[in-house]
Amino acid sequence: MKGFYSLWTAPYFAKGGGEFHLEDYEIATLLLSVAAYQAYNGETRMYADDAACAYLKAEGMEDIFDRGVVRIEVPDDIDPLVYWAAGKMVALKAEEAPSVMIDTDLIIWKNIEKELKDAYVKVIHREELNPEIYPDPGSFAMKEGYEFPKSWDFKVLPANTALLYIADQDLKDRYTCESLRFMQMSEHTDDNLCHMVFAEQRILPMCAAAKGYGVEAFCSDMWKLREQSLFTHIWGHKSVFRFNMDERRAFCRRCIKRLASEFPMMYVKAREIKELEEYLNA
Amino acid sequence: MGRVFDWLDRKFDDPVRDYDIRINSLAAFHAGYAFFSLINYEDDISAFHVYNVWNGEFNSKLVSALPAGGFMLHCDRRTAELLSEGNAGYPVFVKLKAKRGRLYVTGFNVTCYDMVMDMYFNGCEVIPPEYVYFRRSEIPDDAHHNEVLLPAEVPVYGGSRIPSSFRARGSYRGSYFISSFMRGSFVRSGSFMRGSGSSRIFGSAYTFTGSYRSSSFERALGGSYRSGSFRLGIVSGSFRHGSFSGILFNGSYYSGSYHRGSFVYGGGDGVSRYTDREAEYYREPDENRGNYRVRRLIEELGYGLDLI
Repeated sequence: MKGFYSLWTAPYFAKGGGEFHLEDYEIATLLLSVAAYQAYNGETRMYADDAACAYLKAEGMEDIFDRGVVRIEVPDDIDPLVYWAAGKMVALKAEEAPSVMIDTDLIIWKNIEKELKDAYVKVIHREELNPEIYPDPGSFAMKEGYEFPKSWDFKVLPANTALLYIADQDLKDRYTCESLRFMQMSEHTDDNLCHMVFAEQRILPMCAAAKGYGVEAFCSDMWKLREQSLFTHIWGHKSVFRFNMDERRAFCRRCIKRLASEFPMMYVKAREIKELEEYLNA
Repeated sequence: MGRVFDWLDRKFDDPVRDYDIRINSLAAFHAGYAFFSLINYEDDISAFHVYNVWNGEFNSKLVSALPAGGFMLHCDRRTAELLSEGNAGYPVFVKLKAKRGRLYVTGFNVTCYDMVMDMYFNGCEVIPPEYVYFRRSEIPDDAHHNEVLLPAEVPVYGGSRIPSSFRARGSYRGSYFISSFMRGSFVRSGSFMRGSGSSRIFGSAYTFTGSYRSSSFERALGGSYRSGSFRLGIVSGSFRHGSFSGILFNGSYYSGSYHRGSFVYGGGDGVSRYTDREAEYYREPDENRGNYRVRRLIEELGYGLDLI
């Protein structure tokens, strides 16, 4: 099963970031993720905008994706501060189904084809309809002319798409089209949580339900994520790596060690990446 | 106005490697204050959750600006009581690391009398102490003598999942605006100049004029925080000490509504996140409470990290 990642730099620059870069722990996670996916599941591709493409090339990471790096362009009228994951939608739109969309901080440690068999849509887990995060859609200020499709059932639980498998091309097209349309048609806002998760996590299961598909999840309950042995997701723990250098160092060393022991080809690539230099001789 | 931490900048003709070596050779220096309240002390694990106020100019130079919450240090109960006395902040010294021209903090030390304690970031929650004062330090340091800490040069925005109301600029002095006050509302705006300044608080009970430097409290700021204007940060609170020759706050870090009983914890991108446990508790349906907490815990810690 082919898989793909995406890197969109506009949110980084919109926040006033200088030259685009990935931190060492982000690179180490990505290398492990790509290596593990290629070893256990299939080919990988990266969708990236111009700045991300240039960065991957400069760092020598362009050729770690066996299906290459493909340029994407996110429409200008999407606010990168609000819809910071719009790059994922554009990448998904460009990718042909069936395929697995993987966040760059998620690693899949085993073959998942068996789990994907017979599924139309599969995500890592479902989310509760917490009104603070998923408010009533009527509260979103939308531009004139926008209407939520009548077929959407707002009671359907959201789906976390850190990992997303879609088998049906029509559904994929419908989801990405509706998601991007929502982003483009929303009025200016400073909210960068509720709008984003609506576009990413709620539209998918509503589109699926409208087509009569159920959305399956690898983990039926959130707490089971702690017990499973299929995925590593760094998620919010990145904030610890951001400010705790001891943890960061230990994590990066662990990743490098794993690459060296299990994925020697990727380890060779890692040796060429300057950002990881300090961990290679440790 | 001059900047105190200009020397942390990489000059145009400064090669990255030389810059990294220069920064990595630096001794630790003072960059903020740590505040303690016993309410944040955990006897079971002898851990103190620390509330920090960082020098904004310094903070704006880091790749990721440091948040106020999320830090912890370990000490016994006796030390915890000592740290909590006086309500004043203790200097935090940081050791910097430069990597390919980018600045990170690689170590945090809190100094209290003759003690130096390691502090580290783990994203834990902290209840901001009710009173936040910057105490005059016995140790000469650049940050302390910086009378005017300008607003951050670069706005520091919240992480991708942080509501925009928590966007922040990192700076603890400079122009400011105080919008509410616990014992009667007042409005204050203005900016302090280096070495001198006068201020006026308009409100029901407090009027204040004077130099803002004093022997005991050089920088003071009252405590229980309420709503904030995003631009400059807000503080309100009850002043515990009747006399101090200056009041000043920091604006920065956050805005948005904030209530007693709230928690601040270290979010990504150097912005502290706030939760109001009471309100949360009140709003959540019984059957969902557990799920939300589990979700938050899992999000903060990630999952499957032990599989690497």
